Amino acid sequence: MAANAVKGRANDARRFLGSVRELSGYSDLLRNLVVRDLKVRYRGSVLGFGWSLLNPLLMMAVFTLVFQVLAKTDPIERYPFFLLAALVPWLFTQQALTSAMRSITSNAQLIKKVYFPRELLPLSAILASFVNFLLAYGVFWLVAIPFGVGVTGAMLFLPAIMLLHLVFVLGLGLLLAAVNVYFRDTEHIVEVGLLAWFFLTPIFYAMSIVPNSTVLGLDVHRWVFILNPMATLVTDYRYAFMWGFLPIRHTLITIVAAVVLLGLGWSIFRRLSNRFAEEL
Amino acid sequence: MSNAIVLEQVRKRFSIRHESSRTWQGMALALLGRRQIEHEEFWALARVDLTVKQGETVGIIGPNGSGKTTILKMLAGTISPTSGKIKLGGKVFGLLELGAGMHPDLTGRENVFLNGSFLGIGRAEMRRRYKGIVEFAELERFIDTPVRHYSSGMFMRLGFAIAISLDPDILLIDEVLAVGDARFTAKCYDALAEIKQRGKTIVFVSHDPIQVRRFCDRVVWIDAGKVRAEGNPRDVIQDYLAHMRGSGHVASQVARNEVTELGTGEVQIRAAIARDVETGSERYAYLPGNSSRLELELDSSGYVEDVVVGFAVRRSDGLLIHETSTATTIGPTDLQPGRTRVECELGPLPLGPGSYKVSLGVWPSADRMRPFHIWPNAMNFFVGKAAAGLRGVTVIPARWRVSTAAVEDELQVAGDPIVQPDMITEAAGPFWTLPPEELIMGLRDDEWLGEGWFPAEDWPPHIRWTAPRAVAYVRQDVGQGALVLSACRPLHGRGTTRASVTVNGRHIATVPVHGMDFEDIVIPLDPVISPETHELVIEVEDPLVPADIGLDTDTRPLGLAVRSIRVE
Repeated sequence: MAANAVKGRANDARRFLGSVRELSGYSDLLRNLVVRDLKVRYRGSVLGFGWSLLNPLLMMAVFTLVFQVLAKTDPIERYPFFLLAALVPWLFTQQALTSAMRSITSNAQLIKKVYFPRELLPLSAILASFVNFLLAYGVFWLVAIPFGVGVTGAMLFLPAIMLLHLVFVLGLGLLLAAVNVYFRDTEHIVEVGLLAWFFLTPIFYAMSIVPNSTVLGLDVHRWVFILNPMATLVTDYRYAFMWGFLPIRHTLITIVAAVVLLGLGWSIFRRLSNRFAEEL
Repeated sequence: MSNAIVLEQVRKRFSIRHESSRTWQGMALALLGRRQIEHEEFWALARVDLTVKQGETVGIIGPNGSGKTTILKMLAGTISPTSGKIKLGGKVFGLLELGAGMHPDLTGRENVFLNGSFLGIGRAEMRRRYKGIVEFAELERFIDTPVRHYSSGMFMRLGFAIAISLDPDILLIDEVLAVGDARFTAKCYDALAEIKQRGKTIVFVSHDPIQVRRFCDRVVWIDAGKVRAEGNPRDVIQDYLAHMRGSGHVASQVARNEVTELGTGEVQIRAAIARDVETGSERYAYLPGNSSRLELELDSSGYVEDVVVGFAVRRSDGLLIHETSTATTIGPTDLQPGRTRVECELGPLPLGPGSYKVSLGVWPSADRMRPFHIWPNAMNFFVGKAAAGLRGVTVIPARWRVSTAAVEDELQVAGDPIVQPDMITEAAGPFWTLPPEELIMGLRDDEWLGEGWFPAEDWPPHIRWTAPRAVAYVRQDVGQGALVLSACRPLHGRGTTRASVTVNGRHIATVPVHGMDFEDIVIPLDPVISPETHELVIEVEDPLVPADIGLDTDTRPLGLAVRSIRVE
């Protein structure tokens, strides 16, 4: 029994290495797919990439109006940037997950007729969103500098945070993409789920408004960070962006969660992808 | 020579899942590896062993559902076998369906590069091949247009041009050549022949035995997921055809699955068979001069008055051979609710050797444009060779006489020669399929012309004169479109002819036609969301009668000389 299990694991490892090697041979296709996704996303719209900037700006205007002017909550200093620092990464998560989830079902014709590693579709959808995100974040950062959002040492952590964010989204995106082929309900569930997730993540509010009580021996703040990797991520982004703070210690949990999720998502995707062409 | 493709004991099981099993519980079980989901299973491939040598061209034939396409898909790698092994010696590219691998929002150019990367061909290399692809596809003008605006013919041209230029070691082709026009199809076969000569391997799936025989070195006949026979094309195809004749229902099933049926559905054709006139047994193989009896079974949902039943016989390449209906013979019938049987004795068949398709239709006699049911290519039959001396597409009864008595009399013309055949006066329809996007006069156009066209004239190239009012039918594919009329006015007389163009009863333009040379008159059309048949009426106010101005004895009222009508 044990010997079999070991052998099975060795096989898994070999299969995993094989699929990584196969993927690396398709870098050209990946690039083309990413470019295709980016082109298709803005084709026919007048503003094009401008929407990637305008969308968070409009949302920022709405949230600033609602929470800082109309409903007088605790005023937060430089609220627009406070919001953008977390909102733009969140929009990446949302956009990347949605497009990754649909990447297989909306490319049914391709899947049925042409062979290529199926991972490339969610991967390219997520990378296209990531490129968008990087550009948008860069632009906002440049705009923010004159308003006193400094250039700090903590910003050196931003690439690492972004990478972690990407890994987290990849794992979840692969999982959703595969499951959505078999259960189209996924799209509807995820739509509602994302909305709930948005409100449960400290994006337009500060963690300080969450009451600091204790549940099961842990305070609520810790629970939020443990259960919601996005809470950790947006907090890290915001700290680095606004105040030059280093990533919070809960980031370690998020790293573990992201890696486990990527492994799980990918292996489930692999397993289900054999029959995509038949299910679509 | 090494093997390009080896299939060893390949089996493929499909499960037809019922919608009710698509629940989260079922999903969870499947993830846990406990496949206890209720489903029906069927073996698309029971057990297939197949070896294709490098450089071979192999045709796969068989009725629909026999597993041909499953094999191709496995070779292309899009589905994997349930058990067994597949070994491939080289890069594979499959031309499995029109526009597969193309993104509708991207331009032709962008799709060329995208397709290249599916095969792992880099940008630099693709750039080198790009020009050749565009030239072959004849899409220079449209290459920067998003492919969603392409017609199916353009799709096929681009797809085919990409496939052959990617230079795969193994090329898979599934029926796609049926779409293009005859000239481009011929060009494709030339290109394939060249690929073949360069020692590449080609696997070719087709329903058309004649094409397979012309093109393949070896033929594999797949039946019910097994290789039933393989060997030289001549023998295998002969056996295959013999088998198909023996089970005519197979042939009708083939047709039922592959072509879209049209119609409102009030009256349906449920079944059709062809019988031997004498013995009454089912028969799908004939000799020239034999007769056949077609029997159709109709199913009517209620009492329907004035129903016309008809059929069209086509050669395997699509040429319309003959069309007949009860409207022009015994007249329309009234149908009672339920089943009705219709018989038609057909023959003697004046047909040369070949394979023929019969399309069936029922329509109301009042409105032939809105048929109850059109069933394209419902049946196939084959005509064999009767005698060694018989050649050509048809048999014209000929009675010979040789006389030596009056050799001194020269051949003389008795009376005026008949030089002006009548114009088309009959309304068109019913249509057995959607019309083409381009009507080229004098070239298989008469099926889609309504009243008001004079016979094609050789003015190189062919033209047809319109009467003061002429009707034609063209197809517009999905998306934006423009009607392009290649026409000129009569050579003599006033300077400009004004032609009014009506599409589907709506006047859309009045255009001046100046030239004595042909010009392209472009009239924009509204976008459509699905392929549509347009009824096009061209009216000319002042037709020219050549005899009136003393130039000719021609007394026909001529409108425009038309070379082609197309939708772009």
